[in-house]
Amino acid sequence: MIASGVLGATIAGETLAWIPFVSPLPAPGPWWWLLLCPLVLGISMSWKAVRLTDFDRYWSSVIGMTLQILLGMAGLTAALLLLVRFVIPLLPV
Amino acid sequence: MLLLSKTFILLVIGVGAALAGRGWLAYLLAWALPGLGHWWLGERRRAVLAGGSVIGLFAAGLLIGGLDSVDQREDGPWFLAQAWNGPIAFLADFGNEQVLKSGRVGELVPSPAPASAPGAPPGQTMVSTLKGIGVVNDVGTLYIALGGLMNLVVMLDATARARRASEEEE
Repeated sequence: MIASGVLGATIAGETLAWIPFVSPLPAPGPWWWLLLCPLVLGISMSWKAVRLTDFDRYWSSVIGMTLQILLGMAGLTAALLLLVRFVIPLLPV
Repeated sequence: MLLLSKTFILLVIGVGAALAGRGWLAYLLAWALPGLGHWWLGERRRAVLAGGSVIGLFAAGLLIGGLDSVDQREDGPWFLAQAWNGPIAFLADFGNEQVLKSGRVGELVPSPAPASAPGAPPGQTMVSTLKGIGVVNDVGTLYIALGGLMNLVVMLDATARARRASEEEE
């Protein structure tokens, strides 16, 4: 990992074939942030696996926690967007 | 750099086992293979769900970010979190050294990055053409680091359950 936000996934750019588990996924462009959704699901699964006393409502708890985190991140994103686009430009230079 | 070395990280994990008291075996088993601590305690379903999700995060991280997602030499601070995945993290780092950094897969090309590789002329840094430099590589690194921290939670839970079981036996 030597830089972020570069369009090509590797030093060689997109010219080499993708080798699963060796080279990074071909660049998903502006949709890279969708990769955070399975990450949140995995974290919720492991957290609920250790926290719940019985597993009758395991999957509903996992989905609930996943949605809470995703909505929280979306809310923070919206708040930061408002701050950067609208509030900061109003400040005196 | 001592604080980021593999020896130091293994020492920290060893000290954790010593502090785990009666739960030391569950702690070490949970580190050796995510979920194994709970499996040993007889909590099979919890073991499969907790261990499966941690291993799933690790595998997804490698699939998304490539082998370069685990790099103790260049991404030492990230490896501090990734090491809690267990020996699989050390194995992936070894694989990165042997496959990408050695140039066995892909090619080694000159790079301005501050990392020297085997075979590089003095003063010249070499880097694999398969080295990840995009945001997906960062996401892969994040998956494995957060999976490692979640396995630390799983390890502590297995330790606490083992200690409780031990106290109830007395």
